[in-house]
Amino acid sequence: MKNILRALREERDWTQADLALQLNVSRQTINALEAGRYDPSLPLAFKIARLFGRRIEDVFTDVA
Amino acid sequence: MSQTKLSPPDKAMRRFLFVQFAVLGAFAGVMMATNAIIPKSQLLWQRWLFAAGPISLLLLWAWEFFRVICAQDEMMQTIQLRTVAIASCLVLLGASLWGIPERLLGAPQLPTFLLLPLFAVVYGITWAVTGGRR
Repeated sequence: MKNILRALREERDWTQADLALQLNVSRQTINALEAGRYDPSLPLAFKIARLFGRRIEDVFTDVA
Repeated sequence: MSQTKLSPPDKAMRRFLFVQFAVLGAFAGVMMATNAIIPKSQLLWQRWLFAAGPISLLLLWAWEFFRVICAQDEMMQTIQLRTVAIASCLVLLGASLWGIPERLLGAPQLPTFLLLPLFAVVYGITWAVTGGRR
């Protein structure tokens, strides 16, 4: 799955630690999400989408 | 936005690393002291009293380890549980392999109280290799 998490975060001038704090996850998880090494669970994907005021499919794209 | 504030999972991990270092350091010190004191102690209750120190430290380590896993997010929990499985297998394999020459060839005995500290070391190495520190 691809995502635009890094772009959304950088638009807001947030660090990975800032985003981790808001999502209640570790900074490593943010790093893995942005690098596409980890696909979030549905609850976390919803939380991310809600935080940025987007729909899930705007943030995450299925590449398969 | 603050750049130094950590998320709860990051705080929990930082706390655990500090506690682990302190507890295992204390365990090594207490074991050395206990090894020196216990043989001189004649009474059983005194021996138990001295043994209670390292036992408490190992139980504290196990509790803290359980706590840090519970405090992590979904991805870190997955990595941690995978790391626990790999590290446990490696320690069990190592202990069993050591047991063969120990029993058949008279190699020095592996003290079983070292299994948990050994696991902590193997866990740390496995954690770094499996990507937990990225």
